[in-house]
Amino acid sequence: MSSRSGLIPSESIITSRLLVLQSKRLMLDSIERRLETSNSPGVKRRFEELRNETDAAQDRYRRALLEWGSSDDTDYWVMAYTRLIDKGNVIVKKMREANLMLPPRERYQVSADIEMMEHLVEGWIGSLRRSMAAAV
Amino acid sequence: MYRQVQGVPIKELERELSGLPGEDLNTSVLPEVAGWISIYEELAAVLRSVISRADSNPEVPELKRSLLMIEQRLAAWRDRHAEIAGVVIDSKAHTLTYAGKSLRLTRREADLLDFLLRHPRRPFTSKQLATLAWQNSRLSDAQVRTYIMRLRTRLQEVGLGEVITVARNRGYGINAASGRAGE
Repeated sequence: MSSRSGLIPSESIITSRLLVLQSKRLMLDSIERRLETSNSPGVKRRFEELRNETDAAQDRYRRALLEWGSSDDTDYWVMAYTRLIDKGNVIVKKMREANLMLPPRERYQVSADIEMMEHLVEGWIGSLRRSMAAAV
Repeated sequence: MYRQVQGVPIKELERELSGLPGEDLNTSVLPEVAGWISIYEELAAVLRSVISRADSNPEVPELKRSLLMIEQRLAAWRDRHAEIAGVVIDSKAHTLTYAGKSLRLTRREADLLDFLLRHPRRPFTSKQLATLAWQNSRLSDAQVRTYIMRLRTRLQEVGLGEVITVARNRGYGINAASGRAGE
């Protein structure tokens, strides 16, 4: 099923989210340049807002690509591995932070988890590099 | 500091060590474990989604192995979470034991509480609970609400009245720490 633009709906969603992300990035670049010459609190506030909006737009784009993108597309794998690496790193970070305060039983378990997760993340980083090389 | 404890009988040393800040298993680990479960669940969800979309891709067998490892850890932390929360549910006898007290539940009540304890920090809608905890999607929202309210009332008998939380427009969840805090 194609839309009037010739894109199938899932592609339209991905494309529209990419366009939103690109426009947010352009606006962020522009205000960043203004920030270099201006110390106005209003500009600083807008810069912070735009940074958050850009992060959110990036997240929405990634989710759309993962949910509706084609796995034959190398971009799909770049996004998939980026997401896995991000999540894996969050676990490692949280477990490391907590580990020093934990009782011995938990500490042993958590150390094993950290080791496993680091190993998985390492593998995903290797796969991400291969996907990125294939995308070039 | 270390030298001062040399030669002290082990029992005394253990007592001293158990009093160190942050070393109290029951009060400090529960929210951490709940947090890890949430992130592991998110990671497993991403992996499942990728695997389901790319079934014939050569990357998939390795991703399936990763998912298996993560699911094993997730299961282990879910068990540990229930253990630390101090709530023991005998799924065959449908009994709950907490803080030395026992409570006989119905099968549905036991299944529901067990499911919520194994999925902390996540609210579930009535529909999700009916499908995931009871594998019965035909139960209406009102029926699920009645089960929840009845279970909450029953849990008060063992000091767990606040353990099931209700978040408006989001659903029902569990706050195992509230049971511990009430000890």
